[in-house]
Amino acid sequence: MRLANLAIWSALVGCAAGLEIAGRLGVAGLSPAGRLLASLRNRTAGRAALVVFWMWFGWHVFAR
Amino acid sequence: MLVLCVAAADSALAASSRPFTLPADLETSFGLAGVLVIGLVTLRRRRALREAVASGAGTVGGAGTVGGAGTVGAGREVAAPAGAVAGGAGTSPGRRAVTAWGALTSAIVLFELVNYFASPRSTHPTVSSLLDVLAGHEILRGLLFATWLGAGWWLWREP
Repeated sequence: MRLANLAIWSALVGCAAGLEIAGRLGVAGLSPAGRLLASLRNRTAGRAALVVFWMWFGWHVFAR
Repeated sequence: MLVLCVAAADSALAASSRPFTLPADLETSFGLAGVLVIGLVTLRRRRALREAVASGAGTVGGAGTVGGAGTVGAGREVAAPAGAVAGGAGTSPGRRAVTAWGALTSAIVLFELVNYFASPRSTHPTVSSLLDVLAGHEILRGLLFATWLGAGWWLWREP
């Protein structure tokens, strides 16, 4: 069961890597994740959401 | 340069500390506060620059004085049309890209929730429990912390 779970996580990471590569190569109108995040960052609400997520993530992983 | 040195020192300290300890709380709080201060200073400079240009007093030299470091990017933002997505149409993601990344993000969130509510954690690992393995090694933890600080800095960069 654990192995199956890890396989799904690996598949999701693989999909992300595939999308990133396809985005960088400009395949099928895809974009790399950085461009999407930059687009989100350029809006006030988007930047606020990213900052809140960044704060939560750091605190969750490194402190609690 | 000074900011980079402080960030590196904080990452080095964070590398050897463990979660749920006072040192970990302090190092993470220091990183959080530092990045937020940098962000607020950046926003304030950008606003001052915008006001200077809007009032007509902002020549290129004046803008540079107000903006300080990184004014090239600030000038670019002022020059862009109001409300435009910075970077222009050439860099904004298309509908297909948004759909693809949105679907993947939804799948990750869904699977994370399924694992979060299932037990035991060893059989149903969440992202945090997977990262715990990574953060268990000092060097990897330090690198992860530095990456996190870098991501925080990137959030405040000029578009």
